[in-house]
Amino acid sequence: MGAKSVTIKLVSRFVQALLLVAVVAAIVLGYRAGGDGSLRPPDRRPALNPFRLESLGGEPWALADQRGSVVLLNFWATWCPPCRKETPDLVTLSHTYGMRGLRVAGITMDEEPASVVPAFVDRYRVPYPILLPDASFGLARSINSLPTTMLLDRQGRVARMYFGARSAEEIAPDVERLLSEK
Amino acid sequence: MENRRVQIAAQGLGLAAISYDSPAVLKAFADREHVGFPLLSDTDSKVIRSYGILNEGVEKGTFTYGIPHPGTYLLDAGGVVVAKYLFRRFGLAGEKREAVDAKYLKFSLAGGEGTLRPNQRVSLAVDIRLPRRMHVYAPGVTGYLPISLKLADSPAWTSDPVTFPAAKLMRLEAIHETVPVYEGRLQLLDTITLSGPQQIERLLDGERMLTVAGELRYQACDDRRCYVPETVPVKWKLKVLPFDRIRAPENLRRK
Repeated sequence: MGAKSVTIKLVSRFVQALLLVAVVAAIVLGYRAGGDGSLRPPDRRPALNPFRLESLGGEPWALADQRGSVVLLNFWATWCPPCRKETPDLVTLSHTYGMRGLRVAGITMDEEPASVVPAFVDRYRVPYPILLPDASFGLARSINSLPTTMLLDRQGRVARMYFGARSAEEIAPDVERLLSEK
Repeated sequence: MENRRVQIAAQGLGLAAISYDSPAVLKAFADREHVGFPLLSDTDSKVIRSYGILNEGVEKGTFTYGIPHPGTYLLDAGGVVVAKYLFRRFGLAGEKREAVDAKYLKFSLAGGEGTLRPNQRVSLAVDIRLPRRMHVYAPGVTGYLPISLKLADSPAWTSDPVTFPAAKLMRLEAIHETVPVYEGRLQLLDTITLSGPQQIERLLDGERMLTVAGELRYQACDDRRCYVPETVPVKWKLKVLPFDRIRAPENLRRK
């Protein structure tokens, strides 16, 4: 490997890190500015860095593959009662809007997901993929409370963040609006 | 104590209890409860004070004034305290240390003040204060992450199991579950037994301080959300004096 390619790689990592910080900052600032209260207008939606994770069943799941769909990304854990409360609502949303272009994915924050998540998925009849964050998945490290849910528009931009458990009724109008966007 | 009186005697140990009650009260109690070992009367709490365990939380003038913080002391043949067992929060002597601002809670460390000697037992405590509406999970909970205190393994001490307070049962109506939790204030207590001088000496620093390190781990939730698990290092510094080799006078030594 030449010095030039090492430099390019380093610069690219630096840019990636900067982008991550920028996205997280934009999300947090958006939240503090009241962004949590309603859907953000398209020009104020930060794009999420592409990522690719393995799902519980072993299937890969890539954000890039969801382009064109509305995506609901739910950060959760089995040890989180509000997440348990919220899960049936996410299951409902997945069933209700799946055919119209909503894709729901759970990202588990459990430390040993293989031993606890399958029973949870069975119990709540979770139809959507549960993704397993790896060490390189910086977005998971920026999450400090659960559940945290990101609603992404068809371009993969963060249209709204939900902190704490939300009901299907609260999230559905936002999903409807994003589905109606081109 | 009464249930184990025979075993205690078989080990060559004497046994006595001290309280602030009058001899008449103690006699009645001993008769009623069939206590077969001496109950000593310390009506003016002189002995209690001399051990530094007078319960200062009791208001003067009330009938309970003069009671001690309960504890058990092991004395050698020379009348020197070689171990003490004070398992309650108030049994920990010494001033409160500064509270540490950890994520989602505050805590302070207590215990280990004063000087210690090899082979002594000492209780170390973590006093935790949770903000309003925040809770952590208690040991024995299933499916959630209970709070824990784990001291590092070291040749310098052996650690008893950590003592936890009684948990409160919290009903999580939305998910039809009842879970044991802690809210407000709680204390985790770990009593350790220091090793002998050979194991301890080489682990002391220049000022004869022994560092007892451990980890406090917890996962906190409020009524709306849960926070990611936290692991916080904790550390006590114990002053350990050289092993006391001075023996009791010849005529008092056990034959």
